[in-house]
Amino acid sequence: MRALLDAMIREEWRLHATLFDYRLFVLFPVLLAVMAAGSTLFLPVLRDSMPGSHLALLGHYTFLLFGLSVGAFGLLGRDMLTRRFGQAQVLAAAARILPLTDRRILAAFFVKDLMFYVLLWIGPALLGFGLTAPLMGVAGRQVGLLVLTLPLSFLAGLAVAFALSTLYAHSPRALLVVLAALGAAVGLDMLSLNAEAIQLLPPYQLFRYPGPTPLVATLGITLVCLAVSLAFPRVDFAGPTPRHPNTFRRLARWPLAGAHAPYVAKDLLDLKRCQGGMGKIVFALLLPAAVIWLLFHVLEEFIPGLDFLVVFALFMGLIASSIYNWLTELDSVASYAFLPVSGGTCSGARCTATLCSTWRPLR
Amino acid sequence: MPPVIEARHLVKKFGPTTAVDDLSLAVHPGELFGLLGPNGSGKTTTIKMLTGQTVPTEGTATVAGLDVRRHPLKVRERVGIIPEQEMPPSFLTAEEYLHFVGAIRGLSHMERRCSLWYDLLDFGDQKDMLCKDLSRGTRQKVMFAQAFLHEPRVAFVDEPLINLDPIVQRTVKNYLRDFVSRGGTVFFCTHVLEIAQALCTRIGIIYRGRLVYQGDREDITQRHAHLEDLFLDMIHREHHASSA
Ligand SMILES: Nc1ncnc2c1ncn2[C@@H]1O[C@H](COP(=O)(O)OP(=O)(O)O)[C@@H](O)[C@H]1O
Ligand SMILES: [Mg+2]
Repeated sequence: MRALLDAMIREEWRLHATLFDYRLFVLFPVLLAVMAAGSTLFLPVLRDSMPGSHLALLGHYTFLLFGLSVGAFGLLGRDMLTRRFGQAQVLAAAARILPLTDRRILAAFFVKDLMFYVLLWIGPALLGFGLTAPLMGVAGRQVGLLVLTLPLSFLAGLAVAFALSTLYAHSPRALLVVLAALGAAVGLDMLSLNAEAIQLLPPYQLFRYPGPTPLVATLGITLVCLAVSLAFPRVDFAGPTPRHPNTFRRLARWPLAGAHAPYVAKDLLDLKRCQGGMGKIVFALLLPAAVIWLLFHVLEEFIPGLDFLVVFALFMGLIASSIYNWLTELDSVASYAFLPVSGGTCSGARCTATLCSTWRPLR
Repeated sequence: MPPVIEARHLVKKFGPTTAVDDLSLAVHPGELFGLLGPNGSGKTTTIKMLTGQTVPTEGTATVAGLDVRRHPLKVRERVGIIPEQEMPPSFLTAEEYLHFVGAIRGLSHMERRCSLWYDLLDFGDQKDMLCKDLSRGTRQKVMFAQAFLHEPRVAFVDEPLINLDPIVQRTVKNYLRDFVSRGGTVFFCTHVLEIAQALCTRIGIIYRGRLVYQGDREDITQRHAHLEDLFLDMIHREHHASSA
């Protein structure tokens, strides 16, 4: 397991270092830390219009949302694995030859991805915040707590998304039922209790009232969700290999995509046919939508100028970036290298495809 | 007749490793040139430089009248390439992938073009299966069809027979022979000596990035009973020369 993890991390590093200049890659966390520190400087301004506790709530939900969207990657599960294995010859051979179960390989992937997100996103952001916040008059104790509870919020989001995606893999209908129930509960709460339940997010509770109960709740949710995902891995449906009619021909003539149409068609088919199908876009759309909608209700009170459109734009940005990520995960540069297309066309087409797939499920 | 493929002092370095070292060669129309060498000797890197997929560290090359440094995309438009790894993108069916390549290359009459290949390589209803579900051999067939879809005059093929069963191998070999007899040119990389001996009209041996031998098939057959002897001979000699 250790060796596998080592190999995966090394491979991931090389993959990124070949895709981007590795200096850029190293610069990313630094930039993120600086940006986090920069935004912390605005804390006093923000606190004029909103109590600190609400800012903290916002922070926790942002991390939760990030976790959810990262976790939605889990929906791609095996497909991503095969794609990656396709790129990584050594690892592919190793994974097939060595006596490792799929579950183990999947677990290693999970740990590796987690490490990358923590190292590249969470860590630097918290570092920037942690170093600047005390200067802005935030109590040291609170900073310390946040540095602990924000990542827990991320982890909870990740685990919940994993569990939901596992549920989805077994029965999309069950997922719908669960989501509908959640939505109904939240809706009822909004109507009757004036959005009190939104404060019940365990990591946030842990921040507000540190103690064993919220800690157990936070870890409990995370661990149970993770256990569920690992205990019931997606079943491989054996059976006759499916045949498909030529859908590409029709899609490639989609006039809106212009010259990028063939690439867009290919990307759309990739998304549609990989594990989870188009459903995962809807899934990735619904979850953050629910969270953002909740946040909007809370924020509205404090930021009078807040336009729903701004929130919506933010939301679409988030969705688009995760779809872009998915598409990139599903593809590899090498599959274009021998065709007469430039890298510029490829990335341009990828952007068009992202735009298209963001809007198509909405129609 | 001027050469279709001409490399002049090509060098490719990856950091401290020199993958290809001062390689010069010329291939003329109607030739089936086999670049033969052990694993890691620089065959794939040579193809990549000749087809504008990677920029040479030093040296130049022209392919089909185009400078590969200046017109890498145009070169790829004109030639057909079978890459080393068979890897049509996952979630398209074999047929859809061929249509995808056709769309990139701006080809018309795709149905007719494709059906030729379905017949030749005996696709059956596998053409409607997702590429990721195909066997390696069938994926290799897709890659073969992909490379010749636009009826190029020059083809670069990197170990194209490796996963094919004997029947398809035979078909593919015949196709390549026919292709060069009609005036086409093939640049063929392999480490399988038998294939090179059976198929190629001229052979170059590459070892540690250096072209250590070039000769016609008749030449080889006259001087050595078997290509294997020549191959091992050359590599031995080089090995001792470089370690001395
Ligand atoms: N992208 C790359 N980065 C670093 N080294 C490479 C790269 N591609 C090839 N090499 C090295 O160049 C040498 C020649 O490789 P290659 O052309 O693939 O050989 P062949 O196709 O004859 O097996 C090998 O030592 C290989 O490790
Ligand atoms: Mg090779």
